[in-house]
This record gives sequence, structure tokens and C-alpha cells, in this order.
Amino acid sequence: MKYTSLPMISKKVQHSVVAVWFSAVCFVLLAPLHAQVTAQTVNIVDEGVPLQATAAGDGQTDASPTVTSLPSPSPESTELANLRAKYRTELSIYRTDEREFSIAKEQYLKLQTLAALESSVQATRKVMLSRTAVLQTYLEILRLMVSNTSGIDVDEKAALIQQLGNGIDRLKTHQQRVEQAVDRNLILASVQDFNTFNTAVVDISYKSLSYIAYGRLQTVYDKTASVKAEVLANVEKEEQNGLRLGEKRRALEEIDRSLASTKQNLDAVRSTFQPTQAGRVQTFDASSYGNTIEKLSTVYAELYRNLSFLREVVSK
Amino acid sequence: MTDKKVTPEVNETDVLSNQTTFFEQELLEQTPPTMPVEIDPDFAEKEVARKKRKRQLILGGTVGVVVLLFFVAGVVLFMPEAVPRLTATPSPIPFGQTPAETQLTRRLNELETDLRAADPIEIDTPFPPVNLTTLYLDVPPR
Repeated sequence: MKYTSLPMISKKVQHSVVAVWFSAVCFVLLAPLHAQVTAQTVNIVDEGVPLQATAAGDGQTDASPTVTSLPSPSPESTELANLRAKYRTELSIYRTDEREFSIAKEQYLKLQTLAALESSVQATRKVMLSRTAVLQTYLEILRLMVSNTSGIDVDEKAALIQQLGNGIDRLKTHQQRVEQAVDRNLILASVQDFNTFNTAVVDISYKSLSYIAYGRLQTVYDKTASVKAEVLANVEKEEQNGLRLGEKRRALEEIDRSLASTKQNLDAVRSTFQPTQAGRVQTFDASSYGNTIEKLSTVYAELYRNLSFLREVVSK
Repeated sequence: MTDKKVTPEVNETDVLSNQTTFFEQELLEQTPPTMPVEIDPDFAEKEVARKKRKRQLILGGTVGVVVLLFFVAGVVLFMPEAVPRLTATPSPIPFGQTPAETQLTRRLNELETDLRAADPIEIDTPFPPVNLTTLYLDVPPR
């Protein structure tokens, strides 16, 4: 059919008709692509790595329940997710308050009027309150994370949770004090009050972070040792070829040595958390935490290597 | 007096032997005889009706295609998406592995997931970026 030969139809209608047919052709060509993309998405889900829930569901067929009974090194509960959301909101409020405080303080220093003083006192009070809220929620998050992290010695964990609780209580007391600070002198007193314990908050925070990082790797180490024992049992039971059996035994002995080294490194890290023999209490800050993370990174790399070794033994 | 033009008698042999003329030579103005054509008195009406029918067909077809497009688009867009199943699907045993080895491979995969989650470099809760030291109006005495 020739485009110009459409009988008794205006040009506009002709354009519309052609557009409709063109759309139809495009749609027919593109619709299968859409279906293909959807199908691929489904395939990815189906072929992916088994979910943890799935693995747990297979517990009945497990050779040994040791590994599955060990909790995940970094579990994320609903309570923790809620606290994180609260923390994000409070941090956002704090940032706004801090900006307002800076402006108010600058104006006061420039103008030196009573109105500017009143405004800056209120801004200081507000930002101090929002800072306390942020720190309080942060310590609550850490307390929950420490509580959920396996791999930390029970007594040390209890002591840590106690210290975090003390920190939270101290922040609450400070918050009440700031709420009552309505003039310049009371604000100054509140600032002094905060300065008496802010280093303790930093200390307990970095101590908790160090323990959490250590505890997670300790859990993975325990699991690795358990899986290694299972691999050994499987090799002894299944391997028929004597030559290959000897080879695998030697490989597992090498893994044993590597795991022993990893354990030593983990213990060395843990010892830095404890008071020294002279009774000197360790202090924790950003710098010491950096050192701890550096040492734990070595442990992490060793655990990864051990995992590769185990994979090699299993796949041989 | 007669004006009648006398046409010379044409001999066929002469014509065929004449090399200067074409066989069917005609004068320029002379039109060939045409057959009488029968003119249908309803031709115009029929032509209008035919075109109208054609137009209706085209428009009807177009409307049909539009409706079909909307229908298919509706089906494609509002079709419930495939929900990924969270239940355990038995994975085929890799070639050359016993069920126990497959189980161990699964454990190792799980272990790797845990290890990645325990990477100490990945800090999910860094210390809050708050001002701990200079958040005051008057410098506190030391």
C-alpha cells in the first residue's frame, strides 16, 4: 500500500496510522527482549549461591552440626537496623545544629550584642543535646553488636557490655544537665562536664570496635578449624588412592600449621586488649584501632589462604 | 465540377516493394479507431463506496492494532514478576564429586561468605563524626 495513495484520509490521519503501525512493529520486536531480561533475572536468582536460610534448612543432611550451629560473625537484627536508622537521623540533626551553632557563635563574636549572646547560648545548648543523642545511640549500637558477636570471651564481653552501659548512663546524666542549662554559665558547666568523660566515650567505642573486629575473625577461625576437621574425616573415609591420600594428608598438615599461626596472631591481637602485666590499662583510640585493624588484616589474609587450601584439598 | 479527390489505386505489390515508406504508416492527426466503451452510470457511486470501504478497513485495522497493543502492553507491564524462591533447590552434584564432597564445598562457600563479612577493613560503624573538643561558647578552664 502506498503511503500517498490512502484514499480520502487526511494527512494527519495518515500520519497517525503510520505511527501506530510503526509502534506496533517496534513493540513486537522489543517485547521478546523484555521477556528475555525477566527470564535472565529469574535465572540469576535460581543459580546463585545458596542463601544462608537454605543452608540452614539442609541441616538434617549435614555430616556434622558443628559449623552450622556456630552463629554468623556479623548478624544483623531488626533492633540493630532500627538503631542504625535512628542514629542516621540523629546524626543528620546534629550536622544541622552544628552549622547553626557555628553561625550563631560567629555572629556573637562579631556583634557582641545580648540578642546574639542569647541566640548563641541556645544554639550551643541545642548542638550539645544532639551530640549527646548521637553518642548515646552509637554506644547502644555497639552494645548490641558486641552482644551479638560471637568469638569474644564471655567474661570480656560481659565487662565490655557493662562499660558500654556505664557510658550510656553517663551520657544520659549529661543530657539532663544540658537540658537544664539555660544561661551562659550553665552551658559552660555542661561543657566542662562533657570534657570529664568524652575520652572515656572514645575509649570504650574504639575498644568495642576492636573487639567486634577481632570476634568476627575469631568466629571464622573456629569455623575454619571445624571444616578442616570434617575435610580430614572425609579424606580418611573416602579416599581410596593411597598416593593421593598421602598427598592430602600432607596438605592438611600444612593447613594445620597455617591455622596454628593464625591462632597465634589472633591471640596476640587479643592480648593487646588486656591490661599489661604491670597493671597498666590499655587505652583505645583511633590510632590504636588502626594498629589492631592492621594486625587483623594479616589474620584475615591467612584465613583466606587456609580457605583456598581447603578448597584445593576438597576439589582434588 | 466535382471536388472529389481521386485517390490513386494502391497496389499491394507496390506498397511492399516501396522501401521509403513504413508498413503501417499513418498521418499524424489521424487517430486509430477505438472500441466503444460502456459507461456505467453508477460508476462514481461505486467508486466512492469502494474507497469508503477501504478507508473503514484501514481505520478499523489501525484501531484493532492499537487495542491489541494496549492489551499486550498491559499484560507485559502488569504481569506479576517472577518471585525468587527462597526454598532450597537441590543443586546437582558437580561432576566427579561425592555427596560428602559437595556438602563440604557448600560449607566452604558458607565459610567464605562469613569471612568476607568479617573483613576488618570494612567498618560498618565508624566513630560518629561529631565535634568532641571545640563545641563551646566560652573556652572552658583547663
